[in-house]
Amino acid sequence: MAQAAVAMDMLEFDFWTVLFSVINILVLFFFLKKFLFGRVNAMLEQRARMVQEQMDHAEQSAIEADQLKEKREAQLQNARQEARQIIQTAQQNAQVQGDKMIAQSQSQADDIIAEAQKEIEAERLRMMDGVQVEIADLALTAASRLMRQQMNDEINRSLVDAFLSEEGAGEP
Amino acid sequence: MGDIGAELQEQLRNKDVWVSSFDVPLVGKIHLHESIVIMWGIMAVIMVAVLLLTRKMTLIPGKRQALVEFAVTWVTDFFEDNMGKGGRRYVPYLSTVFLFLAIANLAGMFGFGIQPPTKDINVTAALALMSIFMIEKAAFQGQGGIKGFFKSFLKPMPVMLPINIMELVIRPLSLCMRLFGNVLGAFVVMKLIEHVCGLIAPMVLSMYFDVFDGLIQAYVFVFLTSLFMSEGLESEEEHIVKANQV
Repeated sequence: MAQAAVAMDMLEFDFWTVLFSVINILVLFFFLKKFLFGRVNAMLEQRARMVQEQMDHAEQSAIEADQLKEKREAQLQNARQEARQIIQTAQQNAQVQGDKMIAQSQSQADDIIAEAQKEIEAERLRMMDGVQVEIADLALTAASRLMRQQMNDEINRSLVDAFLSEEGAGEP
Repeated sequence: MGDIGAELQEQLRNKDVWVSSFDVPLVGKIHLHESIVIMWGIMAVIMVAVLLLTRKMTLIPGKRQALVEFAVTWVTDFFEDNMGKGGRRYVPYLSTVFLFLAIANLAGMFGFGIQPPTKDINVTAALALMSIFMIEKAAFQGQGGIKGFFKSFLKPMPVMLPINIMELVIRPLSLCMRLFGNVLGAFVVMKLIEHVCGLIAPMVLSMYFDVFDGLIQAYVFVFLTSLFMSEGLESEEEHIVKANQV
């Protein structure tokens, strides 16, 4: 009888114990949900978000660096081209300038030479004239001495001139 | 053998720690079983441990925090594998039950006259009631409302209706009795062994009856609950697949 009573007691459902157990489990559940799963999952999410942000940031930085590099290269290319152009222009200018100067010098030299030749010619003519006059005088003196006769100066001069012209015609 | 019989009977009785002197209408005097007090102790231990473990969480985890995070992630993945994505919201409840059962089933090993609270059939009954509630809740949500919920009783064919309705009672009852019976059996066997042999043999056998069987039963209880819940949730995914195909 006693054993049967124990068995009955063991299997007897008690409203209060069930109720308290349910309340206990619920309390534990809400506690764990808030303090274990809430905290840990919040931390995991926060970390995932941080990693995502950092990866996004790194990607952005890489893109920006690439753009900057391209820009710099383009600028360098431009600068090179500009320098080449500047050098080319300078060379052309120098060529033109040089040509001009050479031409100018050439023409100046030509002028100087021409001037000099003209002067030389004039000098020669003047000298020739002087020589002629002197020779005429000399001839006259020689002739008057030779002839020792009074002659009309003017007639004599023309005579001598004529003579000299004849003589001179034979000379180059 | 008479004294061991009497002792066992004494041990198996659900002791009242306190009984109210007044009557509550319909349900009588308030009985506070010893198992409830032990539950409070287990809850206190779990709560303090959790508070200590999750104190001052930082983005860069220390060893303690890494361990907690690993445990939570592992448990979450485990139940998600069982139940699919839809079961994610039930993970905290199932984990709570598992943690409680694991410690409760091992409580008998700590000495000081502490007995596992799961030796009290009322505690396992409470857990089973909550399990069937969660199972039906999952089915309710999985089938998309009250109509789908009642329709699910006719699946896979209308002939199954009586069996499906009986399952409402059979499932919690089997959950309750399996846990209770196993813990009670282990308890009785251990008491008998302790009575018969000295010190060493009970320690070795306690590894099997208390630790192994206790943890297995905690696992089985939670696993079956999640399995039944996933049955209710599954058709939710089928609905989604069908909707996507249309």
